Formats: sequence, C-alpha cells, structure tokens
Amino acid sequence: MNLREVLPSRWETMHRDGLVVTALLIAAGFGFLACIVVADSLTVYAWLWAALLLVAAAAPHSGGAQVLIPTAPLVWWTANADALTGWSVAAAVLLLATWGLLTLLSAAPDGPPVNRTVAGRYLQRCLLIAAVPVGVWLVARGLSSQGQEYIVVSIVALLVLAAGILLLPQLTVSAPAQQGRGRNDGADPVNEVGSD
Amino acid sequence: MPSARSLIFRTQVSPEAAAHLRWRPTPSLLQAMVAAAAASLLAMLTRRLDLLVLASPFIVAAAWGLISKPTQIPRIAVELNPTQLQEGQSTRWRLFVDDVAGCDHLVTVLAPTPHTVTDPAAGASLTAVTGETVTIEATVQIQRWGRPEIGRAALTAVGPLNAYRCGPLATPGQRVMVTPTTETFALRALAPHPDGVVGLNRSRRRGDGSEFADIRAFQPGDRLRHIHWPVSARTGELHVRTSYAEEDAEVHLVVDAALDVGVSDGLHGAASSLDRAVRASAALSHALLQRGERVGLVIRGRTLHHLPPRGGQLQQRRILDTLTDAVPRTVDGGRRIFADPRMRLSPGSLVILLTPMIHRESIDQAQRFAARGHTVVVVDCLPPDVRIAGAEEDPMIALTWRARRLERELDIERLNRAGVPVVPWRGPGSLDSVLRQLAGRPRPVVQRR
Repeated sequence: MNLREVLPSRWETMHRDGLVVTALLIAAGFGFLACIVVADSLTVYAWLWAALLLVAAAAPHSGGAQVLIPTAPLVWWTANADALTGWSVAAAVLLLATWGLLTLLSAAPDGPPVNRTVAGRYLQRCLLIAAVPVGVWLVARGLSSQGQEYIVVSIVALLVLAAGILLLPQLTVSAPAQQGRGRNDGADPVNEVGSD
Repeated sequence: MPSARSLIFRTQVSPEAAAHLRWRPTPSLLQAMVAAAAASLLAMLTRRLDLLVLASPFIVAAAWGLISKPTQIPRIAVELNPTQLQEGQSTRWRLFVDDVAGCDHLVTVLAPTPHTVTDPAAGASLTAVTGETVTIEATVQIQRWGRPEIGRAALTAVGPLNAYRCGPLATPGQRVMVTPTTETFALRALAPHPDGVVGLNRSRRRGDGSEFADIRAFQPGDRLRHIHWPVSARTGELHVRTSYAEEDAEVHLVVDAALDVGVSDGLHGAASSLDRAVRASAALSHALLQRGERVGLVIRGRTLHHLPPRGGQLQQRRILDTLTDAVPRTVDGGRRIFADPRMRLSPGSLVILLTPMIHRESIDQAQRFAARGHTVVVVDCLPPDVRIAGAEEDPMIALTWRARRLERELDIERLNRAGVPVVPWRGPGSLDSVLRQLAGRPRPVVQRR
C-alpha cells in the first residue's frame, strides 16, 4: 500500500465525519502516549509507536494499522511504569478508544458519512468495556493492599465486572424483531421478476 | 414523457456461493485478540498488574466479538424504479436485505456507472441494522441516453464491534432504457418535395386543402360548398374556389454512429458527435411527427437499426427507444457500413443524414443518395469545440486530427458542389433556411436501381 497514492485519494473522497474520527483516533493515540510519559518516561519505542499511529490514521487498512494495537502493551511495558499506577487505567481506556476508532474507520469506506446510530453503538460498547480495566485495577489494588476498605471496593468491583460480562451478549444488537417482517412473506425469492 | 416502468427482481445466494459466503473474522478482532494475548502473557511473565489492566478491555472486546458472531447469511432483493426514463431523470434503487438478525450494520457500495450521479455520493452508504429487514435506498440520476446497467452493488454485513464480516454480496445490475431529450424544436420550413396523401405540406396539385389557389368556372363534379358566391353573382355564372392539396412527406433520419468523436460529459456537459446526432434525431423526429410527416430511422453503428417510416406518436416512441441502442463501432473491420438492403426510399422522400463527417463512407453515402435523385440534407454533428482524447498530451494525435479536419473541409466542399447542403447542428431552427432553399429547387427525378 503506497501512502503517496492512498493519502490524496482518501483526502478527496473522505467525508468530514471520517476526518473527525481520524482526528479523534490521533488524539486518543497521543493520549495513550501522554499516559506513558506521565507514568514514567518516553522511550524510543514510544516514538516508533507514534509514527505507527500516524500511518494507521492515514491508512487504516495498511499493515501498520494492523500492528498498532498489538504492539501498544509492549510499548507500555518498555516504559517500566509502576505496577499499580493509576495511569494504567487511563492508558487502557485510551488504547481501547484508539482501537474502537480504528475499527470504526475500517468498518466502512471513506465516502459516506458515519451513521449516527452505528457511532452511538460503538460509543456505548466502548464505554461499557472501559469499565472493565477500572474494575480490574480496583481488584488488583484491593488484593495487593491489606486495608479493610479495599476488600469492600474489590468485592464491588468484581460484582460490576461480572454483571458487565453477563450483560454483554444482550447488548450486541437491539432488534425489534417484527419490524419490516412480512414484506417478503410468501414471495418466491429466486430470480423473481415482475413489472407493473 | 416516457411511461415509468418498474422492475423488481430478487436474488438468493446459491448453495455453491453460500458455501463460500460465511462470516469471517476481521483484522479488528485479530488485533484485539493478539493485544489481549500479548499483554496477558507479559503480565504473567513479568508479574505486572498494569499490563493486566491494559489487556482486560481487549479480552472483553475479543470475547464480545466472538460471542456475538452472527450466523445467518443475509438474503437480498433489488428493486429499480423506473427502468425507462429520459436523460436527466432519476431512478430509485432499493436493496431489501433479509435475515440480518445479529448484524450491526451494512455497508453498501454501488458500482460506478459512467454519466450517472448517485445520492448518496458515490453510491456508498453505512446503514445501521435495527430489525430483521433493512431497506437501503439510493437515487441514480442518469445524464446520458443509452442503456446503462444500473444497480450493480456490493453489500457487506458487519457484526458487532466489526468482529465478523460477511460478504461482499454482489447484487445484479439491470439495464435501463434512457431516451434522449427532445428539445423544444419548431421546424418552420416545410418539407421540400412532399409526395404523400394527407399532411400539412402544400402540394403542387390542386385538391382539398386550406390554402387558396384560384377561382375558376364551375365544372361538373365540383362540390357545392366550394362555390364562390360573390364572383358568381357578379359574373352571372357559377364559379368555385380552388385550393392546393395538403400532403405529408416521407423523411428518413440516418444516424451515422460508426464513430463517436469527442468526449461526452452528459446532458449538461460537453457533447460528443454521437450525442449531438442522437439528440438532434430525437428533436427532428418529434418536430416532424408533430407536423404529421412520416419519419423513418436508420442507425448505422455497431449494429444496424432500421425503422420504416410511419407517422404518429407511437412512431416517436419507437424512434426514441431505437436511438437508445446507438452504439458506436470503434473498428470498421473492412465492412461497408452503409450496405443496407432494407432501406427503401420513396420518390420525393427527404433524407437527413446526421454525421460527424469523419468516416468517408457517410460522405459517399450522401453522394449516392443525391445521385439517385433524393433530397439529401447532411447535418454536421461534429461539436465545434470537440475534445479529442490524448490530443493535448500527444502532439502526433493533435497533428493527425488537424489533418483530418482539413480533409473534412474538402469533403464538405465536395458535397456542396454536388448539391448536397451541409448544415452544422445548432439546435432548433438549424434546418429551416436550407429546407426553404431546397423547396425552391425543381423536383428531382428519382432513378430506379
């Protein structure tokens, strides 16, 4: 995939919604890098990941975009942050946002506007998933601490996590099952040609 | 205005195709799975809880995607309405998608067709699935006459979180008939040498008609209502008013579609030579048929189309339908384009040859018609500001085109010397003056072959 060809082509055809999503993707990616800086220090791997992020934003279907998310934990690992740092939660949420925006970008061609219902579903699901790292972090903190107050917090966090996972399959698609049904009832679906 | 016809056709994925069509994991799902696996592994090996925090959303996202994998293959039905329209008009394309339970959204891309404008732009749309059936609509405005194939599209069904995709499912296209516009055109000059029975053209013969000819003495057989009473009272003898008969003319429109010179940008853009010939034929036939003439049509392109001369509005419909089939023949192949044994011209018929005058055969044919004694008018359909593809980049093409245009000027001069007028098509009124001049000439004697 030649970026010199892809970029002008995308720039010509992209809807402004796509530009907004791309801008949000870059912002979320750099937010993740900012979390690394705040948690510890910026390594050379972080710079490489930033370059990869820009490639992914320019061409969401490129090879660079495919390795962006899998390499992010390695970049975080090389930063040697504190194991129980609260910034890991922010980093996890921002990385999830990066993945969600990249997924939304690659789910459709650049030309049409982003359907508001579809974007709303992505947001709803990502927000739901974003609760998971918060819960995991709270549990980890609770287990690592000897304080009584953290045991209560850990139990609450585990309950939230379990409820979230149980609810997941029901939140996939809202399907008013009968809507539009019956239009093709009784019709022969094979190469039926009619004119009026 | 052509009557709107709709055509609904449905397709179902065949078992063979369905075997290839299945819900496949996407790179997004793989990214989430690899990120989750890598971060979890690192967390376990290095005993780092922060890496587990990083891995946790991707573990859930990957699990969500795997759990919510749709199972049904969507079924599609396509509707196109209308399938018969004029250039510049729009047709509505509808795609009905069934069995989409479990899908999150559908991505549709209409195949690009030349000289069409689609709404949504480029025919691409993203539709959220909110039930078991989804209807996707697009409006396609067709800007050039012909029989374009509309409605070929690719549909991709996407699962929740873009974890699985099914498709693309190809939807079949349908050829629609797009007739040329008939611009408002009033042909004021009459046909030069009409030879029919009834019509609007003044005949040389006396007979029933509205145009006054003479007053003469009453003869046995004259109708009483033709008696001119003032003159009869003055002279004391019965006199009758005579008039010229009115008759129709036989007009043959011959469209030279062997070559299409220039670039066509649709109804409101630049016109190629064939665009001008087809639109001029539509306008001429409309004006002539409205006036009561009998009009025939011959199109000489990739295939030969021949409509014998007839009158009436039905003939206009036939002519417009036939004009949509005009396809240029890019390679001559050594065959004679104008060898048409079916074309029979009555004495006195008017032949209007619409040609860009690039192909030598059309010029020879005009001369042959004239030599046989028919009244021939050549309508030059080459656009004055014609754009030749590649002429700007390649100086040799530009030079060759210039040489051909010079030869063409000589051909026009040769035709004019042979008594065949060549009129550039400039829209309504192009033929008025030349038809008046031809009417002033003596009636030609048609030679039998």
